[in-house]
Parts: sequence; structure tokens; C-alpha cells
Amino acid sequence: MTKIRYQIGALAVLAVALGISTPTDVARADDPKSAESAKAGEAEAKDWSEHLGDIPFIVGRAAGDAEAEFTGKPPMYFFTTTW
Amino acid sequence: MAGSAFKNEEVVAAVTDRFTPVLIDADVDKKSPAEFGATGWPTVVFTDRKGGAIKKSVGAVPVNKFLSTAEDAGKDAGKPKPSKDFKVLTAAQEDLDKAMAKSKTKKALTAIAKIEKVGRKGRILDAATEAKEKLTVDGKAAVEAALANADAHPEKSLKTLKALLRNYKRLDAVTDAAKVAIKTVEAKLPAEK
Repeated sequence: MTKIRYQIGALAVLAVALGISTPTDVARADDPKSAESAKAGEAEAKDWSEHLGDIPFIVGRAAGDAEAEFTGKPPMYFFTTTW
Repeated sequence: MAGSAFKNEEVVAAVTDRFTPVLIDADVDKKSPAEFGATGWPTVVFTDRKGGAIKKSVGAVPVNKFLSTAEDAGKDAGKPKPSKDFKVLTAAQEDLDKAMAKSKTKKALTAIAKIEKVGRKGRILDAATEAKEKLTVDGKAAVEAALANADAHPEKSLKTLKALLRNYKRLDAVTDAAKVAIKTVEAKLPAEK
């Protein structure tokens, strides 16, 4: 089961590298932790460091929209997942 | 995309000059991607101040292409219109930095008070709290130094303590210590005839 998960993960990374959009719902549907968090609507403490580069991202819609209103700069939403 | 484009200086500038970068975990927040028609990851959506999408970048794209999209979106989005609180905070932060650099205690405490009044959690409030802690330590040390000098030069010591009382007006921890010290020093002064 673990081996299969790694293979799915590797395929997902390859798909991103090739520019192929890959919804993660399928790949992570068997992950009870993700499903639970999604249901609760709460963000997990994930490591986004590889996604952020040098851009100071605000994580989460509510916090991001509040910051946008505060700074007067409209949001640039970066929709992604961890793999 | 993120690994390269988001590390490119021009991209970072184009994004941060005009936009608030917001990362949405599509595993957790499924409503937001749907709202902007995003179905594959990564997808970047640039919006205007009314909340509408103005440009979209889907999947892995070359840095130059992403930069071009970000710059075009920036032109469409227009200049930022910061909130009143943002203007107050950024101006107060500038005042605080200058005051701390020049050891202007009174001005630094005025700037800290402005930042605390806005009360917005974040980098600026953290810096203000840190500056306040430093001023408290410095102020208490100055009171102690004046007190230590009181036996030899009580009048000079008293003058210093009264100046500290004025300069640290907004910092109770220091003014309370100064008030106690002033009473101690006044007791050492020769009685007026």
C-alpha cells in the first residue's frame, strides 16, 4: 500500500514537472487526515517551503483576503497542494 | 513553477508590488478554487480590487511567461490603495526605526503607542514589542545608574531621573522605577534652610 502511494506521488510530481494539471482529490482520497481536515475546513500545518520561493505568501483565504484589504493590494491566489 | 518562478527577482517584484500573494491549500479549501474555476494544480489567479479574476496561469509555465502574466495583471490591477491602518502602521514603523537608530526614546515610544493602538498582529507589532522591551531594559538600567550616582551627586542624579521620567512617560515600568528612585534621592538632599 505504501509502495503504491509513493508511486502515485512520483507520478503526480512528474505530471506537475511536465505541466499537466493533476487534481489531488483522487491521489489523496484515501488519506483520512486530509479528508478530515478538508471536512473541518481547517488548514493543516504543512511544509510549504518548496512552493513559496522568495514570495511572502499568506496561507489561507481568510488571512489572505484580510491582508489584501489591509495593504490595498488585491490577492494573487496560488492554488496548490503538497505532494 | 514555484521552485523557479517564485525565486526570480523580477517575478517577486512584479507580484509583491501590486498583489497580496495568498497560498490556498486545495486539499483543504475546495470552495475557493471552484470560485475561480481552478481545477488543476498549481493554478495562479490574479485578481483586481473588486475580487474578479484578471489573469490566470495554469500548471508549470516558463519563468518569462509567468513574469509577463504577472506584469500584465499588475497593470490591470492598478496602483494599491492601502487602508488607513496600513498607512498609520508603515509611517509609525518608519518613525520607530529612525528613533531607535538615533536613541530618541520619547519619539520611539510615541511610534510604539501608534502601532499598539492599531493593534494588528504581525511583523510591525512584533518589532514594536521588541523595541519596547529593549527600551524598558535600557530605561531601568538608566534609573539604576542615576541611583548609584546619588550619594556622590544627588542633585545631578535627581535631574537625570526627572529627565528619564519625562522621556519614558509612556513606559510605566521605567517611570514607576524612576518615581521610587526620585523619592530615594530627594531624601538624600540636604534640607533647605
